[in-house]
Parts: sequence; C-alpha cells; structure tokens
Amino acid sequence: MSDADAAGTPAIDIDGLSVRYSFREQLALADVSLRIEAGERVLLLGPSGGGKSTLALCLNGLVPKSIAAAVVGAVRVRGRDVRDGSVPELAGDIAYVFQDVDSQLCALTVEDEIAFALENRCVAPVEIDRRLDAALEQAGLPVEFRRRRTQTLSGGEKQKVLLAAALAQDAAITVFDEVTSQLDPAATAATYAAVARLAGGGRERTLLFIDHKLEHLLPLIDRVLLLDAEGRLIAAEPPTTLFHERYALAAEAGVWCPPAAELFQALRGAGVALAERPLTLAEAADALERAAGRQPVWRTAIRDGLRRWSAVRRAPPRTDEGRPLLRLDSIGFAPRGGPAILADLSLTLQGGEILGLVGRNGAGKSTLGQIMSGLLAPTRGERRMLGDAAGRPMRFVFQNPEHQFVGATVRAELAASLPKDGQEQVEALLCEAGLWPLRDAHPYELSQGQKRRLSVLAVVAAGATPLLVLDEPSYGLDARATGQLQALIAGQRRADRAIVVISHDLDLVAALCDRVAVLERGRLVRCDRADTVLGDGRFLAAMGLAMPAAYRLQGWLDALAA
Amino acid sequence: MRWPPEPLRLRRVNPLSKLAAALLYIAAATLVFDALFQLLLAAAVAVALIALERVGPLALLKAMLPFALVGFGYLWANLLFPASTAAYSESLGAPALLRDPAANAGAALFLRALSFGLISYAFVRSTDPADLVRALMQRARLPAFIGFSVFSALQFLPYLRDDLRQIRLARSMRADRSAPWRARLRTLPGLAVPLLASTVRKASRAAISMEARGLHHPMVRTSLRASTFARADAVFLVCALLVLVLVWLTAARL
Repeated sequence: MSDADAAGTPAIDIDGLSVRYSFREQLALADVSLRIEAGERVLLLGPSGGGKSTLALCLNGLVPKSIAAAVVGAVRVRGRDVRDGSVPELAGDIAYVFQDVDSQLCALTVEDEIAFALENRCVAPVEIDRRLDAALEQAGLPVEFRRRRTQTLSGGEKQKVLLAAALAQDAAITVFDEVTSQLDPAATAATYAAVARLAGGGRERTLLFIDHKLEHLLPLIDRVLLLDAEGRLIAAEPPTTLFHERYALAAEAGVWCPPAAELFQALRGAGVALAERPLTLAEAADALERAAGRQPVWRTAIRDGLRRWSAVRRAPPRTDEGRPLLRLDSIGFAPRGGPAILADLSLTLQGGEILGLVGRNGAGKSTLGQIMSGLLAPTRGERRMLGDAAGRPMRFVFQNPEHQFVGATVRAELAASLPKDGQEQVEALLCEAGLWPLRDAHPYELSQGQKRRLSVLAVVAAGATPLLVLDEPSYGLDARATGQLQALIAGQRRADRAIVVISHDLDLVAALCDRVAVLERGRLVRCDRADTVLGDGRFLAAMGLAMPAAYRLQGWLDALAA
Repeated sequence: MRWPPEPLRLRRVNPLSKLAAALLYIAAATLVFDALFQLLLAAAVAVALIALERVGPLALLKAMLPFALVGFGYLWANLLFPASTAAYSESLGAPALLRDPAANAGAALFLRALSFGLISYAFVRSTDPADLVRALMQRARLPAFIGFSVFSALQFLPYLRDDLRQIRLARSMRADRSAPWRARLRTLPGLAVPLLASTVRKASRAAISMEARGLHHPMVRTSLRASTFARADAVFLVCALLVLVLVWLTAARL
C-alpha cells in the first residue's frame, strides 16, 4: 500500500463532474460528486447511455484528452488531479478491462498482450517475466498459454488474458467495464470466478465494476453507485440498502435489480414482513426457509407469492398445437472450405409458437437462424416451408441492428420497409414503439434499446411473415429497454407465424418462449417444452448454460408445497 | 554436439536479416534480365526452402501456381508480340537460354515472376509477423504506435470479413427483389456505411484500450523478447550473398 493510501487519501475523489460530448446536446454526466476509498469494491450501475463508461474514462483523463468533450469539475486519483498528468502517466495507477474483447487485443501472443502495458512503463524484462506467470495463475490460465496465439483462444479465454494483463500491471485501481457482456454463461461464470479470486486476495486494490449481471458480482461489492438516464448520481449505498430499502429508486432508474431483491419486494408487497435482505437467490432460499420456520403462517403467503413472482417470468403454457410452418430435415451446413457448423439437425416450427434457440458461443445458433429464415441454404438435408408459409418471405433481425439499417432517418428507415400503399402507417408504428419523437434522427444516433426496437419494427413492417428470427435481441440492453423489447416481441405472436429467439439470456427465453432448442457443437441435443428444458439444472449446467431465475427456486417451492 | 546436427532453420534467423536478403534477391531478380539467371536463382531459393524449411516439393508447386500463372501471361504475350521485347532483350546483350529471342525474353519474365514468388514465399513462410514487427520496432525505429496498430489490424481482418458477410445478408433480406438489377446495383455502396461505422468503432476501442495501457508517441519502452542478431544471422547473410554471386557467375559463364 502506498503512502498516499496509508494517509487516508481516497483512491478516487470526484467533485462536481459534468461531461458533454461534442455534437451532443445532453450531458453524459451531470454534476457528479463521489469518493471511493482505497481498497473499496464499488459497482457503478445505470441505464444504457447513463454515463457509466464516460465516468470510467474520466479517471485517467482519456475524456477529454483523447475523446473530445467539454468537462467541468475535478477528478483526483490517489490525490493527484487528473488534469495535471498525461494519460500514459496515469496508466500506472489505473488498469482497465473493457467489454469488447476483440478490440482490446493488440498483440498476437498471450505473453505479448500481458507484457504490453509493462513494456510501455519500461519495466525490466526480468520483472515482466516474473509478473507474467503470476498474472496467468491469478486469472486462472495455465503458464503454457504464454506462447499461444490470441486469435486461437475462445472468448472466455481472451477475457481471462485481458484480466491477466490488468492484474500484471499491479495498479492501485482496476476498472472492469462490462467484462462479461460478450461471453456465454459458462465463460461468464469462469471470468467471475477469476475476479472473485482477485477480490478475495486482499484489499490492496480498489475495484470498480460496471456491470449488468449482478448475481455473481454483488457478494463482492461494498457499495453501489447509481446513475440515472441523465447522468446524475442518485444513490451511493451498500447493495442491501439500495436493492431492499431503496428498491423503488433502482427500479425507477431502469437498471437490472437482483432477482432475490425483486422476489422479496414482491413478498413484502404481499404482506410477508421479511427482515432479511438477500442479494442472491441462494441467500433468498435460506432466508425464506428461516422465515417459514419462524412463522409457519407465512408458508402459504410465501408459496403463493413465489409462484406469482415465478409465473410472470415464464411464458404462459400453450394449450393449442399450431400448424407446421417450416420443416428442417437432417440439415447440415459447412461453409466452402471450412469445418461443419451444423450437422444432422431436424426440427419443425409451428404457427403461434415462440422457440428459444440456446447454446454456447459458436454452437451454430445464428447459422441455424439464418437457414431457418432462408438467408443461407443448408449444404446438406432439406429445408421446407409448409402450407400457407410456402413462398412467403421469412425475416431475420440481426444481432447488430446497424447491419440492416438502410434509411437516413428513423422515419425513412421504417418507410423503406413498408409497401408504397402503406406509408401512412409510419407514424402509428413509430408512436406505438415510442420512437416518434426521434423520427428525424439518424438510426445510428439511437440508444441500443431504440436501435433494437427500430430494427424489429422495420423487419415486421415489411409485410406479414410466417417466421421471425431474432438474434440476441436483448444484448447490451438495460432492464427497461429489455422489458420494452420483450413486449414488442410478444406482441408479434400470431397463429400463422412462428418466432425464434436466439439468446444467451435465459431469463428472456423463459419469459417469452414455449419451446426451447439447445444446440451443442452444431447438433440439436434437446428440443422440448420450455419448462422441461429450463427446469433441468443438471442438463443446463452440462450445456454451459445458467438456469433462469424463474426456475431456480422451483425445487425449494416444490418442497414447500409438499 | 548432437548428431545429426539440427538444420539451419530460416525461422531462427532474425527477420531483419531475412528481409535484407529478400530485398537483395528481389533487386537482383529485377535488374538482371536473363532467363538462366532467373532459373538458377529460383532453383537456389527452392532448394533452400526444401532443405532448410522442409517444404514439400508438391506444396511448393501449389504455392507457386499463382505466380506461374502471372508469369505465363508474360510468356504468352511475348510469343504473341515478339518484335518489341526481343529487340529489348537483344539490346541488353544477355546470354540466350533459348534460341528464339522472343521466347527467351518471355522465359526470363516467366522465371522472374517465379523468382519473386519464391523469395516472397520463403520470407513469409519462415517469418512470424509478430517477430518481424517487433524487430522493426526495436531495431529499425518503427514507432510503437504503428507496430501495435499493425497487430490490431491483423486481429481485425477476420471480424471485418464476418461483418461484411452479415451486412450483405442483412441487405439482401431488405432488398426489393422486384427492383431491376441496376437499381439493386446502386445500393451496393450502401454496404460501406455500416462496415465503416463498425470498423471505426472497433478501431476507437482498440485505440482507447492501448492508450489506457500507456501507449503514446514518442516513447521509450522495454521489451520482454529482445530482437537479437546472432551468429546464425551472419552465417545466413554470408551464405545468401555467396549463393547470389555464384548464381550470377554461373549464368554469366554459360
């Protein structure tokens, strides 16, 4: 620990910070003042576009020194005003791990990647060599990885390499900016395990997290800083206080709240006076067990409350069998000169159903979705459209909405999709999706949630389609935007249309889908009713998937009911 | 000492030594307009690849196919229009491998294309791009921000290709298939906008990440792996020079 830390100097001290980016009217951060003590673990939470990453980039002066912005207020890191030092000088105090794994890698081998920051600081090669092995071990990677090519690594392994690179810097402050947003659940769990090892190692480092996936993280966190959509700091509380005592504030801000806090809020609303303040569903189960034992009269209220909470997070069961729309018969797909991505896969889609397509990164989900929608042709087997669906266009909503935008304004984007005699629908459709006030903005200027809604709307408006496939529709969205998109997707259900949702977000799949198909290395390993697949924890774990919150307490609920 | 001794593998030689030798060979192949010289030079490089780099002859032939095709184009053009190049060939006073001056000039061009191909292939095959850029940064004063930008660009290429594929699929879905092909052709430049936006965003993130880790310009930095010159480099350079002189003398005498 440095002298500065020992003397009680805060790790980060921000006073009246406001940031406005060039060519933007709205402030990214508005009059933010906060203090983070040395050794503290802090989670920075806020809606998409709420200024979280901006705040992180102000800590080493990247905003405004490299990213043009008008900045008012003072930022001091370990007692030093950021304005007085250059970005490279401050790099010794703050290490970053960002969300876009592939854009961060700047060397071709693992050891070069980890050594990069140290070489920039003129650390002696012998010392770099020593730190390299230690960092790899801390990040949970074998030493043999040193000479591996970064391009041959999986997404999870790349993120661990970047984590090792940050650890090797031995900086007093480490910032983790949505480090697992591009990873599948198995890789996410492995990354958080490495972060937890780091956090468990002592209080030498100050850790600042920006993240949406709260279950893994909250047990490590001392304090949550909550920003609102206008970039104002509206709360700085321990997690239990924020998510239980000030739950309404967090929910109003549109951020993700831990499912355990949502559950307890619902139970308290139903009259169960629970004093416990769990942050994870495992803690919630223990707390409910104790409460039910303490007050047997609460058992019924807890059971009913838990059922209701669980029910709103699951798609209602379908009673009718729809007509078959699309049949895939032993299909396979291998790009020219490449390995097989899909093999021997058979599946039938029915009208009126929403199918969830899940699996690890690289399992072939997007390729299958593109084959379903007719964008790609299978290289083996047969794809057949059945009945009325034959000859009608299928639609696919891409993971990156920008890939499919063709209009120069939001209004033009939608108009380009509508037939010539349907142009009068533009206003009504945009109003319905809450995009009318942004009608003259360029689609690229919208927030992630708005882009996503516009892309779905543009695809649906193109005409009645018997099949709508959505690729990772909730990627990068906050709780409010996900809720809006979920309603938009659910509103597209028709008796003569099948919807396919490709997602790593099994909570979204649970809330929308009637059936779930699981892909593993290009093969369909299971396709069954959603409650059967999503309730099978052992199977999901074997597939590298995380059970959705709505099913996690099912066993406990069954025991209570019995 | 181990027996049999390990062969002198080209990849153990410093990339800058190999770059110097490759540039020297390319300069010689460019300046000497003689089919026999080109043939001997190509043969010498091919033998080095087979003996030192253990490249299979078939693999080598396959790799040289594009260069052979380009060379064949030159040869064919010379045979079709013999007057101009034959006169040029004769004016150089170079010894004739073939009796017909036009065929001789064509063969020289064909073999020159092959020599270029073999020299480039030998360099690329035996050199790790990371080692080359590192050597350029440490020994040839290539600024670190350019060196690491090259690394980043190498990382981007697969994603760029994937992005372009996705954008083309997305556009094909939204295209009006009833529109005439000319109208559809006019929409092609529109592919550049999302591709550019995606690339600029990735590049900005890469720049932010590198700067946040202390990269700046100008800068002094240490290196975990130093790019060094050893005895193997001296042996390699002397051998490369001797082979070149030997090839030149042999071609001149025959």
